[in-house]
Amino acid sequence: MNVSQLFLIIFLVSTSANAQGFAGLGTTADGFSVPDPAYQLQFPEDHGAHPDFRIEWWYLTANLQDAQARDYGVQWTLFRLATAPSEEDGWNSPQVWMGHAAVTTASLHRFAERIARGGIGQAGATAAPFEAWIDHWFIRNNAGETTQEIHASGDDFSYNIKLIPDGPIVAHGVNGYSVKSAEGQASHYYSQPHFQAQGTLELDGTPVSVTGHAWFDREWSSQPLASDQTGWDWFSLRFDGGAKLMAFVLRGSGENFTSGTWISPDGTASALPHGSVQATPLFRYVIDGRSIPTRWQINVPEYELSVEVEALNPSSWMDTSFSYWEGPVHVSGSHVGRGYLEMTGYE
Amino acid sequence: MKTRHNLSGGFAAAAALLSYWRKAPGQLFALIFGLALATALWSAVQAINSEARASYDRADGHLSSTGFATLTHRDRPLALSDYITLRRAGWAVSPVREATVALGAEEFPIVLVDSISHPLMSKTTNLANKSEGAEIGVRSLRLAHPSLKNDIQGDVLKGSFTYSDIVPPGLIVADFGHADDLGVPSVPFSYLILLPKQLSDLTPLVQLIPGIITHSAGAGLETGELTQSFHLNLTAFGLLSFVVGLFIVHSTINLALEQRRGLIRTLRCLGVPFPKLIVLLAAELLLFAVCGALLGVLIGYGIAGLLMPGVSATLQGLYGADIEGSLSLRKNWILSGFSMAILGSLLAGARGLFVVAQLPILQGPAQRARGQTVGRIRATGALIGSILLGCAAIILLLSDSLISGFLFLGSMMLGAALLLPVILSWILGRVARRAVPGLSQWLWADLRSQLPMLATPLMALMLAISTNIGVETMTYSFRLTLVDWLEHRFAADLYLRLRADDDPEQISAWLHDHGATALPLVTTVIAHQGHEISLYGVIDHPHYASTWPLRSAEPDPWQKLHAGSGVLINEQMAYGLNLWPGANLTHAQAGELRITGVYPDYGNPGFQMVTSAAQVRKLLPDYAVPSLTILLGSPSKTPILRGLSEEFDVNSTAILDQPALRARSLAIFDQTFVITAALNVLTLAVAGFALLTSFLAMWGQRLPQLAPVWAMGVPPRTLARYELFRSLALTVLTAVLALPLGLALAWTLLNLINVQAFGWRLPMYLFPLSWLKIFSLSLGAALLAAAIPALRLRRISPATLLKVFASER
Repeated sequence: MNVSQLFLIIFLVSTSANAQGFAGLGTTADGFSVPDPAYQLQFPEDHGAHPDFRIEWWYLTANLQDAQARDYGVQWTLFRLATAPSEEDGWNSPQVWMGHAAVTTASLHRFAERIARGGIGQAGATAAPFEAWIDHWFIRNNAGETTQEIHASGDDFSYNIKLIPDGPIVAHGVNGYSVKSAEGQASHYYSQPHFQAQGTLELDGTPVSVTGHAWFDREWSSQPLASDQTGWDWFSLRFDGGAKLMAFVLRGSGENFTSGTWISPDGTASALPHGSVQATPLFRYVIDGRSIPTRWQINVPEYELSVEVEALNPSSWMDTSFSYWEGPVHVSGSHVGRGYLEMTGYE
Repeated sequence: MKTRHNLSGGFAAAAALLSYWRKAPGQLFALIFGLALATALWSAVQAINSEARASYDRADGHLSSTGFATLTHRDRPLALSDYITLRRAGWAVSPVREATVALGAEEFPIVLVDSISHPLMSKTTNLANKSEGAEIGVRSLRLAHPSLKNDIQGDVLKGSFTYSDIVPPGLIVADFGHADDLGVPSVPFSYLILLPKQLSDLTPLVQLIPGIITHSAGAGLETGELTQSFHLNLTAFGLLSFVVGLFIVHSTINLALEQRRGLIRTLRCLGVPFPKLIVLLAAELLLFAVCGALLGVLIGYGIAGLLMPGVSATLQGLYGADIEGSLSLRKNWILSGFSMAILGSLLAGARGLFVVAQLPILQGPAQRARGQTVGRIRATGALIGSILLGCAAIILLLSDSLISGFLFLGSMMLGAALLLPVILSWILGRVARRAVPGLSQWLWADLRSQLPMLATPLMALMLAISTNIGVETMTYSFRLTLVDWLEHRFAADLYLRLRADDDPEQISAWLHDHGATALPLVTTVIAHQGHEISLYGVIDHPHYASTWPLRSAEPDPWQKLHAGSGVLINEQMAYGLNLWPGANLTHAQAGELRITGVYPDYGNPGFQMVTSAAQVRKLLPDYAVPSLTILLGSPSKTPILRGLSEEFDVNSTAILDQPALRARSLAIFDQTFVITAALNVLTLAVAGFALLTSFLAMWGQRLPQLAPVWAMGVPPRTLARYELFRSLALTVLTAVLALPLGLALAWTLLNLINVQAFGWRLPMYLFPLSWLKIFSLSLGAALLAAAIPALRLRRISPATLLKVFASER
């Protein structure tokens, strides 16, 4: 991990002296815009950046398989972090961008990180035509098509994946206003969980053709965590019957805050308010002294869901500037399927 | 009461032991000064090394681009769009702009960097703790060297900088985000830093930006490794001097113990317990060690101060490593001096203490009786010496690293030194047997009987003489080779260094019109097996074939080179990658290259390759033309120089003429070996001093041996002459034996150490005149050492000699 960059980012994110919560996300939103429950998502505008908010991300995860039905997970993430609620062209831009990419199999986990400053074209996100990029990594609309393309590479891996949408965009919470704590912290949050994916990934120079499904998340806020919240466990699960579940647990010193969205096979989204998702860790895996729950029991009684979620590779630790766990999972129980799990705040 | 009694008894015993030194101030001086000399040379070398290391660390700690490859454009400055093009193609690059900034009335040099992509930004991480000032963020990076604190006027302006010595002296380093408020344009970039770690399979730089030029990292990256071998050399020298110095301490301590045998016997008879005596003797040794160390560190500081400018010039000349010529007291080398002195003197005294501890309570001074012990010790020494020589042979056969080279040297030198007493004893025994019975036979036999006492200083002398011969042979061989090489390699009349905006073709055309020939040198950098190789392209001209010296080559190497079917590589690369004439090298861009010759390239730390200019232009478009080689032919130098200056604004610093270049190279070379020569002389001086102290130490024991000879009618004057003869004879024998050892040392330095440390092998030349000089110096030292006892003997009164018989114990 590059300490200097961590230092820079911490400095950038925490304009006040003490960063709160994971990655300073609990810091107050002084001067920045705050999510508005009355806001209506607008496309394509909201695919682009919202520099008046402090933090924003473009987050793609994919569960893929090769010809021998071996499982692969792919992550492509771009974060935008602002030191001031404005955007300026050139070197004075207060925006810093950070990209994370990873490929995970049952036995290996490869990842890379890129950091760039905003304002000079090295990294950014435009709404139309849609493109989010940092250095040579990108996710973008293929010209004249509805399909998209992602690319990233590190020292020992790379991938080129084509994404074909086969369902509608889903807004979480109420019209994309997703509440994160009892005190009312919130973000604007929508997903495109309906992507078929196909392409090639390369591990140590060996190309592998893969196909599967991908899930794209967009979220922006200025203070998404309450001051006592230390991290989250986030699930995006795709069941064989076509239904999908997004659920998260925000861990705090008091009661954990849970929320989610049930997405029916036709793409209709139903918000799951606080308390309707039960997530219980079943097994903790120790990575470098950190105890990480890599097997979970998830219950959503309202939808008769009772499943066990287990990591494909428990060692999927992202040892990046902000470190966290992110990797593909298998789902078994009342529903069977695949998905992705992200766990933060386990430092 | 009992404790008090013990205490006072302890004091009395200590006072009695110490009182000896009042009677033998010469020995006291020899002991402390010997220790001080040993410590001094060691400390001097350590002081120089640690100063140099601190200097490297300071330079390493700077936020500079030294040590990184950089990118510029042949025809235009690099713009922001170029940077983004390369980043978006996956290249890890970082922009740098060097400019000046007006702060108040004064202008300061400023370096603008991108805090996020700059490879050295990790150095600012601890800045908040290291210096006064705020935290560092992406746009808050605004640093100035502390020396500028008084120069920047105005409180607000002064306060807007963080002052830190991670910034190179005299400089301001700021993030590009400050360009506007400092009034410095952020473009064009001076260069882009090309980070060492890049992804594989990226689109080549020239395809992305035609005309972009890669400049190699230069010597910076390798400075550490190369200078390490230089410092290893110095350390080896320091250790050698220390060992030589310890010989002095060893013989003095043993002599003092020997001479106090009577006192020790008396103290024991008076009831001083044995362990207490040993503790007291050890404490005394410790006291002397501390005094010697203190003096030694002071002398060492003086020597280092004198040698430091030479060392810094050497490192600058050889490796381009900048170290300041000043010296400061540093904890590490002072501590190292002290601990070496204390450990060394305990080691030197351990045997003596052990012998004392083993003695029966009433044993008197019985030097002769210990002859068998001495014989045993000598046999053990010879055995260890033979084993060490065996080890040296094995190391030579089995390994070829720098460390093994030094191990070989160490085992060979120490092994040979340990064998010296046996060899000398054997020679003297043979001579004594053939000598005319009577005085002559006595003389040789007497010489042989003194060997045990003189063995250590003679070993020291042999090490010093052989080191001198070895190092001088190496230096002279090196110099002779260098002179010859410079004459051939830099045979052209003028060398013109081109600036970025000079047009080589225009200048060449002008030179051609004025009767001179210009040979442009085309250069670029390629990477091969993780090594950076400077690739030079030369045009087809007979100048190269007729002047360029080659170490080994296939037939017609230059014809093949100009035809594009062969390349020449420097010796460093040949050794480094084990590529010799006939071998092939495959490179992604340059294609399949056949090595047709290897050329010597002294003083260059990096790998180098020469091919035809046409090949470089065709295959590697990111080349530069850094210089022109000018052959004057008929026109004289002055009008050409004037013309270049008038037509192309070429200033004199861009032009090197051949004599100047040669003179400069030789000056650098000579400076390089100034420190070696100084250490050589100092080592010889220490060995001479060791001999002197031994002679002085033997003085008391010599009298019982000389008195009977005097009593038989040999006058003191003749005895004094014999003393001088004894010293000369032993020195000559030792020097003769040291010669082959010295030559072996030179061979090792030239053929093993040099190849490993610098990547070139040198022919060995023999210089009997220099041996003669070293022999004379050694004889001079030996004569001086023997002069004092001889003079004493000459002036000795018959009463003193008679007393020997009276007080025979």
